Amino acid sequence: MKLERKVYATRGEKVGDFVIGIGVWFGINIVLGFLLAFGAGMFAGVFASLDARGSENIIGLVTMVLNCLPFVLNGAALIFFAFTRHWIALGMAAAFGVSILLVICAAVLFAGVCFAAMSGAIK
Amino acid sequence: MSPILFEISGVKIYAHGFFLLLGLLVGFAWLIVEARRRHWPKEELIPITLAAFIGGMVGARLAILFFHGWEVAPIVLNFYALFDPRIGPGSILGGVAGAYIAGYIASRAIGKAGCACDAFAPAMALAMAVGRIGDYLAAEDGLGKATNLPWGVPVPGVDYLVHPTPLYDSAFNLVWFGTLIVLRDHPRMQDGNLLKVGLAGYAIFRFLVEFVRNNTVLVFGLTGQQYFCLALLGALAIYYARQWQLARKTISA
Repeated sequence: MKLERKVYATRGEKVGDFVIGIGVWFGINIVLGFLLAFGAGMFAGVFASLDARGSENIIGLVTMVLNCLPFVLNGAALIFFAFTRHWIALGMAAAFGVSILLVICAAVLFAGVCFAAMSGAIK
Repeated sequence: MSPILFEISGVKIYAHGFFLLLGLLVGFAWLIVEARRRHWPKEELIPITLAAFIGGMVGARLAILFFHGWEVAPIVLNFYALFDPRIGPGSILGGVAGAYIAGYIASRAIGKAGCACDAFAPAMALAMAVGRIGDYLAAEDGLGKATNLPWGVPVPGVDYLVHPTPLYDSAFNLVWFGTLIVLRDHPRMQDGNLLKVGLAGYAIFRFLVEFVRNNTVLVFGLTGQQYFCLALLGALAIYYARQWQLARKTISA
């Protein structure tokens, strides 16, 4: 599949796509977050009620796969838009980057110990 | 050691988070200085830096899976855990790899000819030199193995002195930053070579310092971080061997 790269003629087009990118990133991830939380909860409830052997492992595995989905979707969307409408990708990346930077700022107040040190506590 | 750096009106400021943020800000600031010096246009600087930052953060987190094993997968593979301020980003080595890959993809996406990534090399070293001070103050991973050397330091929970490995890292990166600054205008250190040399230098140092750190040994007495460094050095060796062969062919033709 050959990706067609959009050529931006005006500043307005660029700003428009940048804003769309921000909206798309927050929209997709907030909706996806709710759907996954709801879906995983529902799956866990249904599966636990079946009282199947090893259900905890299966619930854990499915929840992990579902939680992993946003990595794939965000990565795919960013790369797709980067090669087609790169101002949308830039908007998405800006939203993603600023969100992470805010989290790092918050880490100053919330311990923010390294993952390695946390791994024992969060297993 | 002082995991809590100071308090402002009863609000605790944690050393790890503080120096992580300070390291990033100092690194960004140096990157801007370096980009201006190299006349790197902002139309290229912004998307590549943004991609490298995101790639770095995601890479740092995902690399934990390789270094700490499958039991941390529920957290590592949870996208939304990236936005939990109680969990640090993860591994600097994974961060470097993720930043490199994402920066490369962004460069290709914007159709950038050649490589402007050399501007990142001293900035990364400076950021790590600052960030590692927070790891030391937070006594991360028990700092290092036991030592009788005069600069061994006490850590909470043990009654012996240990290697202050984050300070080794910080000191190395400060010296390495100076070295990269000296090398940055050398004709052979252009077109991505400065970054590659920067990464190789850190990989060699990190391979060695891992022998006195507390990371999990995988096989043959080496940690996951050491295998990562060996893989990185191997990839760079293959790249330069191919470049050397191409140059020889061009000369003979």
